[in-house]
Amino acid sequence: MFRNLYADTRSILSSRIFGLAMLAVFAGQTFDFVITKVIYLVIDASISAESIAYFYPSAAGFIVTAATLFITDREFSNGCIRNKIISGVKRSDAFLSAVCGGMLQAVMYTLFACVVSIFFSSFFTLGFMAESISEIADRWLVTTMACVAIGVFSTSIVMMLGGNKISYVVGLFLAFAMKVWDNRILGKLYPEKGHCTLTGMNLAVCRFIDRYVPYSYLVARPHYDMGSYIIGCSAMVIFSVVIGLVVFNKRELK
Amino acid sequence: MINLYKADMRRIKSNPIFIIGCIIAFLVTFVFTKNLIGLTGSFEMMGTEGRMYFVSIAIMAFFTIFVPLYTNMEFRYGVIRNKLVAGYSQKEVYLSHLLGHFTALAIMTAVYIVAGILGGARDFGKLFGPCVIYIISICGYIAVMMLISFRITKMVIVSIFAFLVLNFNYSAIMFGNFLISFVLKGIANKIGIWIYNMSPFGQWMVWFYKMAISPEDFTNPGVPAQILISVGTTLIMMFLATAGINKRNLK
Repeated sequence: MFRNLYADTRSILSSRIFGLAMLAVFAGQTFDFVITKVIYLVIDASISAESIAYFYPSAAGFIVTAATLFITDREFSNGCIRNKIISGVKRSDAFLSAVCGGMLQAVMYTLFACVVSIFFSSFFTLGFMAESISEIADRWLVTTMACVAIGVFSTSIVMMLGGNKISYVVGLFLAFAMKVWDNRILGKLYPEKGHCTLTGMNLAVCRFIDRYVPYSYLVARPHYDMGSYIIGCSAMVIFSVVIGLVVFNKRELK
Repeated sequence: MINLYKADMRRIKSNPIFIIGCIIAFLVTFVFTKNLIGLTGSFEMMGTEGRMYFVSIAIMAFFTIFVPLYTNMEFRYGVIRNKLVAGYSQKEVYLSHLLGHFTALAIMTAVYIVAGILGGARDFGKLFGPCVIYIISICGYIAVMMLISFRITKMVIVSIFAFLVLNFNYSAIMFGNFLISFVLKGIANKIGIWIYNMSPFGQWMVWFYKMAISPEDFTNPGVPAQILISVGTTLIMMFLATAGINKRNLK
């Protein structure tokens, strides 16, 4: 298990797509800063750190899903997964190792994004005006947890459907659909004007998604207790791993 | 070329993703337009025509999935190579594919319209203009997807780029709404509106806003401009996809 995990980790860290994903995080944050700076120059105002600090959470669903998809799919297209199994690695070990790789990637991207965000916030803005240090840390912690859950989920999908063309679109489509849906849910639960008009089942479903689905943690600042976020992320990780293990152990590899 | 198109259409019409897509398009349009799931609030207020127009955005999402999957499958299974061996050029193959996807769009639109009419949307005067403009803008979007699918042959990269374009469209329109409303003035505002309308999501938003939210159209450059932008986008994408493509070596 650990030899396999070591090999996978080494493969991830030395892969070109891992570096490209890091570059995408940096480029995205820089682009966001430049655009925001230009807008603030036009309206003749100064930038507060809140305006630019959270680019990554808005793009994290896509970045983590795309990177884990590419790296995990490589195992199938290069025949690595088949070679591992032929050389005696248990299927469950191969699966768990891939899932740990997905987690590792998510953590690395988020930590890097946090460092880049702090760099831009510290040197190019007036600083945080409306958030305390603990709130900022809280947000990055929740973002990291959500990204880990999404990384595990995305890796599990590819491992379950690996080699099938549907695996290329399911995770990416889900990440996009959840982003759009979560924005809509936020608008309904916390409208800018007036009160929330949702009732009954609609309200229950919207609150559940807002509280327990990790994709929605990336859309807004944390507004529930930490326990809810831990439950949401853990549930997604456990479901992904259990279902993934069952399917991956039974499926025939092409 | 016409033979290639016919062969493509035969394959598209029997493609399970396309068939399932058309069935889902029918069901979703019918259910939303007739409001069978009892939607309240803004969905209830926008009326049958508004709800029918609202679900049309799913066509854009469908072609984000279908165009890369279908075209890349042709590369992977060697269909395109067989066509080249049979004496057709890569440009002809590209054009036949593009035309095939436009026809697939027409079929899906027909399914969508039938479902909408059965669901109770009968105000054709209100729906005709927005639907035609939106479908023309989707042609531009399909051309973008074809550019990605034809220039890149590795499936995983194609799908990442396709969804990157979709995500970018969504984020740019959300950001564009803010910029056009509050920041851009004068000529910059006009340029912003033209850029905003380069995305089918932007053009969809212009008419959805007008039909369901408010008659004020602050992002609308006018119908001729919208059509011109869509046709221009399609032509530019076609040029980028076909420039020097006949010299490319397929592995």
